Amino acid sequence: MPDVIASDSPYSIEERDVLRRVAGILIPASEEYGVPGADDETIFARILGLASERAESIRTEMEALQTRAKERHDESFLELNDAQQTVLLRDGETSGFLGQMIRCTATAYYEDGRVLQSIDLKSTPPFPGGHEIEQGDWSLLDPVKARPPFYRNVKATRKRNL
Amino acid sequence: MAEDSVDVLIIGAGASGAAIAWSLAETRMHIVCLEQGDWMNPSEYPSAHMDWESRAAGEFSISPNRRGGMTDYPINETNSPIAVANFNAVGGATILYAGHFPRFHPSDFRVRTLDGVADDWPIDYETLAPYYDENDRMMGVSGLAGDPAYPPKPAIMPPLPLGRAGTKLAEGFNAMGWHWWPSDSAIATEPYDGRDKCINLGACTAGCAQGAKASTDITYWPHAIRSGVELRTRCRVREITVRKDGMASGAIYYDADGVEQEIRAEVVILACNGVGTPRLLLNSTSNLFPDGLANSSGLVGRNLMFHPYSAIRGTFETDLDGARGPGNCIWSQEFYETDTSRGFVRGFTYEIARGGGPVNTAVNHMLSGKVAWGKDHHRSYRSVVNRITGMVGICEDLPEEHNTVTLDPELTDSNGIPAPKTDYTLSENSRRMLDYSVARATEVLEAAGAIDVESTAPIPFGGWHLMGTARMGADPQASVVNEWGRSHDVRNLFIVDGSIFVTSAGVNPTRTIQALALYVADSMKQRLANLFD
Repeated sequence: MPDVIASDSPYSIEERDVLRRVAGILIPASEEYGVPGADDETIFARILGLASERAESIRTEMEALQTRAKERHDESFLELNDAQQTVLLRDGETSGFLGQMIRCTATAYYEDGRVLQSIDLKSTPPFPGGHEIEQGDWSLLDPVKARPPFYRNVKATRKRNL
Repeated sequence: MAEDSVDVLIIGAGASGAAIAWSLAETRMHIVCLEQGDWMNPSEYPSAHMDWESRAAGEFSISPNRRGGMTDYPINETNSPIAVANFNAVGGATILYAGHFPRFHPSDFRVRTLDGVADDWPIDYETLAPYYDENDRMMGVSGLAGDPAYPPKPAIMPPLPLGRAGTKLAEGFNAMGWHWWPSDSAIATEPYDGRDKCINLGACTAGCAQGAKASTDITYWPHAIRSGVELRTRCRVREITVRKDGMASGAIYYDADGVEQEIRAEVVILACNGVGTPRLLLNSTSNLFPDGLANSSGLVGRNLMFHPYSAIRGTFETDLDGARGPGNCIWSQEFYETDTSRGFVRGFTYEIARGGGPVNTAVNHMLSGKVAWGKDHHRSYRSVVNRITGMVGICEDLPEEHNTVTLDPELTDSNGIPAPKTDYTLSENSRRMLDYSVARATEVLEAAGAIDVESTAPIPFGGWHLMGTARMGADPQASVVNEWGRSHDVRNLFIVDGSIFVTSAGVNPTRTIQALALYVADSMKQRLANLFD
């Protein structure tokens, strides 16, 4: 269940819609891999939490994004079609917003148990279960074991102090 | 208020403070340790939570400036390409260290004699060897005997598993004909001294919730406290006080409520790391010591050494270990000893870093453009996640007096105590060593089958090792403490942390810091009747 109460959010409803739309563009759902998009309700709640920690700068950069949308298309970001939104996000002039959203979106997305399972990782915290690691091929060490010691001999220069 | 008077005051409860507290406890002296941090609660470590990577980068960040916690002090590091990493708690930086646990080599104590640079130590490997052994038993070290890069040394527990990443890189080193060996690690691979064995959580550098990693809050401290040492947390020392005869008389500190307190002591031992110790000495001015305590040589805060690190990572076509398992795995010391044909003196160790977490892999590679966003994201991400491994090159940093820890004229901690400022320049020797380490590691990774190699040098946040700022030596004009850790100027003041290093070697320093602390403790115990002569 989302842990961010809407009324506590520093973002307006429209701003939250922009954030959610951008999250879904950055990491869309995939039937092929059986994973939700980053605009999934649970994942987006976490994104909103992360974005709220840096709301001042994200809101400023979101305003710049909206300004570009108005200048180029005379519409708000949410009114643009998918291709227009993607082009706008790739624009170097909105890279600050994109960078912030990549951080929030990728972080929240790859903390989600469903997503982690899809990449062969546990859907639970590392502790207490831990992981299995294979021993590996210790015979690879045989040629190194056969090597004579190669640290420098300093006995000729050694001084005792105790 | 009752007078607070003790025999021995130790400041700092990290790697060295814990070791010397335990060793001195057998004297039955009244020993108190003041620590500005808290006891840690392992259930709060990041690996017990789904958002472990976020927590590791936030409240468990290695950067005190990023953490900004109540127990932290800020550091002005605007004039340094390498930022300080530390942690303030019972256990100190061992809470967050990887547990890489190499010893120095015999040659590391004879740098001037062998290579004509820096200075020789006033002690040698053989002097420290029994203390290395004792510390290994207390901390619990895993590894494998027989490493041809070292004199013989014992292995207490079996090594950590190679896993897929270690196997892959071992193939690379073998293809080049270069040395590698299972890393000595302060991580239990078997139940040890009340600690359970490693279960490959993969988040060692954010605190070990399993308790397998040897942080001193779970190794030395329980033994020291059972032996009668008193450990007080949330006590931040402002200054060392002195008597009219120039001997240390104790310390003034702020307790958890911010109330100023004074404690008197017959002996004061600093164990505050290579930044905290010079900061405290420089803050301890008086009519007798206007330039800071123990600073007649002018060397307190000078000769700061970090270990410049390179990081070299390769992407492979098959799945490796990813975030599973400790980062520690194998090391290579093929390029450890000096070979001037390489274009630099001294050398470095490669330490394999097994793999990265899913969040960091996504964020870093999406920001760099190597992982796509949009409809190609999932395919693109799966081509890198769990498929990256690599190594760091930990380069010996030579002492230079212009690399310093001083007091910032404006910045203070939450108690109003002047904060440290670091001024550090990467030397030409270090630059060349870093470049060489990147080039050779790239060859290893490519020989192992990497399809893409990327590198960073130096690692800008990698100031894990803080050394040299109160160096030891026989000459009072060229060193701060003598060959057994006692201040030349103040004969009841001792230093046991990385400050006293003469040179840095090309390995992680914690094992040597602790061996030195045990050696200083033994030196004190042998001289108790005439300790201040």
